[in-house]
Amino acid sequence: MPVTCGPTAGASWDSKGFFGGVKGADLDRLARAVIDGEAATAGQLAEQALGEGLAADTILQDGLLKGLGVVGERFGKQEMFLPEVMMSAGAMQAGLELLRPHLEAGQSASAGLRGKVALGTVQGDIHDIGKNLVAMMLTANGFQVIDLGVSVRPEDFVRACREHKPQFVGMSALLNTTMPAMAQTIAALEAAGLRNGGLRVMVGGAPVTPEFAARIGADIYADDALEAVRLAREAVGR
Amino acid sequence: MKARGVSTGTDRTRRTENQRGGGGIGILIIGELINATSRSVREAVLNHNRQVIQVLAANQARAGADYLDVNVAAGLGDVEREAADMEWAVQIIREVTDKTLAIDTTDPTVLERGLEAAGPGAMVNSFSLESNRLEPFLGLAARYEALAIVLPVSDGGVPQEPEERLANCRELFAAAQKAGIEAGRLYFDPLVLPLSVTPASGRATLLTLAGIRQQGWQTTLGLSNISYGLPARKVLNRTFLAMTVGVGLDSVILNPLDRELRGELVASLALAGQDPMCAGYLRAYRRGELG
Repeated sequence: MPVTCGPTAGASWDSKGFFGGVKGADLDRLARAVIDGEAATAGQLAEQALGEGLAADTILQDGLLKGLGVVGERFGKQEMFLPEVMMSAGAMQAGLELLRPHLEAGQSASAGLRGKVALGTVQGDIHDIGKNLVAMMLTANGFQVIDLGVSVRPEDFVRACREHKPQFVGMSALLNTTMPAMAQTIAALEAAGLRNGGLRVMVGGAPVTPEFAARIGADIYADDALEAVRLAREAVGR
Repeated sequence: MKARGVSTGTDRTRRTENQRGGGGIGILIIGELINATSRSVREAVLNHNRQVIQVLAANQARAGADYLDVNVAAGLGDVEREAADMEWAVQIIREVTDKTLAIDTTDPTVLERGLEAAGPGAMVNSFSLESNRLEPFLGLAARYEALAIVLPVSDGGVPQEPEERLANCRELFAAAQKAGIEAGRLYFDPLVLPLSVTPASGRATLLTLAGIRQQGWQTTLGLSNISYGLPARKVLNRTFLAMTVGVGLDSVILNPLDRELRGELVASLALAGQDPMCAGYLRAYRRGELG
């Protein structure tokens, strides 16, 4: 595995300069635990950092998310691979669970939930691996995910959006033969008047291209699960 | 399989060998390359570029593919267009090879046009318990006397456990029987999920494969799924091919132009006792296909 050592050895991450060397080192270790996919260590370090009085939001930003950022970069460069990314998401999740009560106390802009995403594989398509990965990465990043499952009918996407009022609706398709269901779902959302209220449509899946996404009127096309997270974060401005 | 260099004796043995497929190596090879998921194929379909498709068809046939998969879904959402594209593709492929064509679609309209154009004895790729497909696909397979690939998938998705997959296989077998499609025309796919996200995937496939074989049914396999999301995919694909052949494969969906993979297949069949007197292995050697 190419990822057993720290992300940017020697580089300082406490560039904001508002925490001291020891605590900075702790957050370095926390980031590294995320990169190495060590859930138990990530949990311990997050707890420790809280105990040392660091703000939950600082731990999230400068520990967990920094680590996940490195994971995303390395995944993009094919230096890390899916099983490792999943382990990292697990570690991120473990850390986030500990921070969550403190984050939801709402001391900062990035505290608490980033937003809600209703997610499903489109009608006629029962492939859930890509969709599950996106769900996992979004959850690990503090989004609330409403997983609608596989072969989700347009009307069920509509119903879920009415009920849960998410900021995003995410659609996945693995088959080129089921991609048209994405367009049908978008049409159904439009017909239901749901696209005026700030609901953003995100699409992805092996055969889906940015051109296709644009043509059917999707707001966001993501090439993989990590990009889905990055773009969703960008879209909510956090 | 014409012009095989080494004589195969009488017409009858030659025919038997042809049925066994793979240029006579004891397994049917379904060539996977005509698939609109690939960008170049997608463009060729959209622009009706005959040459791209015909070259792929001819090359795969020459490399030992027995059947050719045909997937023309460009994702436009226009079923009529897709059906017309399928008819076009089948017709132009027919101009360069008489290999059996596997009509690869999830839409009954597209399937019907493909089967109609391909003539009797084509292959349906694929049907499953998914409710929108089961009845119409079975009906078409029966009407066109087609072979069919069977996926043990249901509306609920892809089962993880071999037992659930086998239960789906039994249900599908019963449905096919009821539609008048005999077992010899069915190829059951045990399902291959990417190892990268489903660690027990390889094992689940092998156990399911063994279970299907135990029922006395024929098997097939979409090989390259196994390696999705991992580096050096070819290593995994080849090793998994050897393992699945060891359990029992009657056909396999792969890239027939991958010369090394074909070598692996020939060797695996010999090792699995599916190549009497190593004839296929030696023939491949003499043709310079090994090593």
